[in-house]
Amino acid sequence: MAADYVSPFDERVRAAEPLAPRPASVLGQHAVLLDIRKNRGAEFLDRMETLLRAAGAGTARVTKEIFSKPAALGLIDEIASGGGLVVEALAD
Amino acid sequence: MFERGWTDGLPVIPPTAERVEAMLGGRDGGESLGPVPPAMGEATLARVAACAVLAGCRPAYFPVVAAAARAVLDPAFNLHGQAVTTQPAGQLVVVNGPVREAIGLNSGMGALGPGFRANLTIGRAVRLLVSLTGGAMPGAMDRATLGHMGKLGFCIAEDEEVSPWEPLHVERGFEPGQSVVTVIGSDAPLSISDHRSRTPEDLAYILAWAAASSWSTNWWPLADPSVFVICPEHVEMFRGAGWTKQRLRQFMFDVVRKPAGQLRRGETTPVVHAAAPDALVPKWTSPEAIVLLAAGGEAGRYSAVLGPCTGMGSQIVSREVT
Repeated sequence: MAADYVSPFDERVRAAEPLAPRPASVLGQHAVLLDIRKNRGAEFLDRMETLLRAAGAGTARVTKEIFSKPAALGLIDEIASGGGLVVEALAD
Repeated sequence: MFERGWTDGLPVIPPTAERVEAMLGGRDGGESLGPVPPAMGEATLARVAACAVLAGCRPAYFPVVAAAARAVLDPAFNLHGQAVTTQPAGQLVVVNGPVREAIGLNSGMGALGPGFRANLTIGRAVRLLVSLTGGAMPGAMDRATLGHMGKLGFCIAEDEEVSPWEPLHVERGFEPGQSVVTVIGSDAPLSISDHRSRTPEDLAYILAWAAASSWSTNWWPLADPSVFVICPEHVEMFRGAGWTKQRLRQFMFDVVRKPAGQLRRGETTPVVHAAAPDALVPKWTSPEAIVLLAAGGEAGRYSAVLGPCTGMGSQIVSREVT
């Protein structure tokens, strides 16, 4: 007889979120650049911002409260409504 | 259990429904303590109890496990950051109050080591909750470069009877008669030998400077808590001289300083870079970043320091055992 176990896992299955479609070009797109506050992430975003603008994209910069916590829902909403592209600078 | 992935790598006790019910001791297994980062699996009491069974806990330990689970899931503790970081940090569980004796927690000889089921399995149950319900297994969402053995489980009790000082839970606002769990993001212990000091000032100097390379050699100051476990013979020297915890903490904070110019090599901090070369930089941002606990065997002059989990904004969290 199979034993009746209590799983330590949350067995609910979440549907995978599909990736948003990627644009063929950044020309005319608006990109949100997310600084998570890791060391030197801003340097990477500075460079990306320069390249994106040179390629004809508009940019905006946003910042997480701290790198080690998930972004606040308000910030996620701001990113979602603020542009068609997101660039996140992750780590040092 | 191995095939199911219900393990931390060691053999476990299968969490049958009967064992989990016994672990719950009449509590409502459907009660939720909230999501466990990083995978955000829901920590029902039944799942916490399943982790306690897997770890080898006796049912009498479960109130401590449940209190520790509530503590690590407090957003102020930032378990998310600790669970996924490349840092080695584990979750140190410190137990104070009458429950220590009631369930056989060791605060004496070998207080940071093996030999005592309550210490080993309570800490392991907390880590299984993080690793399984929370999904923070090494190589999956736990990205620790090295980790440390305390990530298998890390539960210690303060020896309130040997100590002349206020125990940790009283410092944190609880009554002495309350049983309390306090969780701290912590690195592995570094032993500090001192058999020669003859004054409390010399001993405090040795203890404090042992932490000078915590986190990284030139990373000064540290804002997150460093935990010093002071052995009974060292405690006795401070007791004999009438030193309070606060006096010792302040002395340790004051004595560990270096000129900024000596710290400008390799990894260092913006504070060091901004300071004049001869300006003295402390190892900690304040005396409150130094946590003092009394524990250990009655013979031998070995204390220890546990470095911090750094830069996560993780606060120390305490919960009463109910």
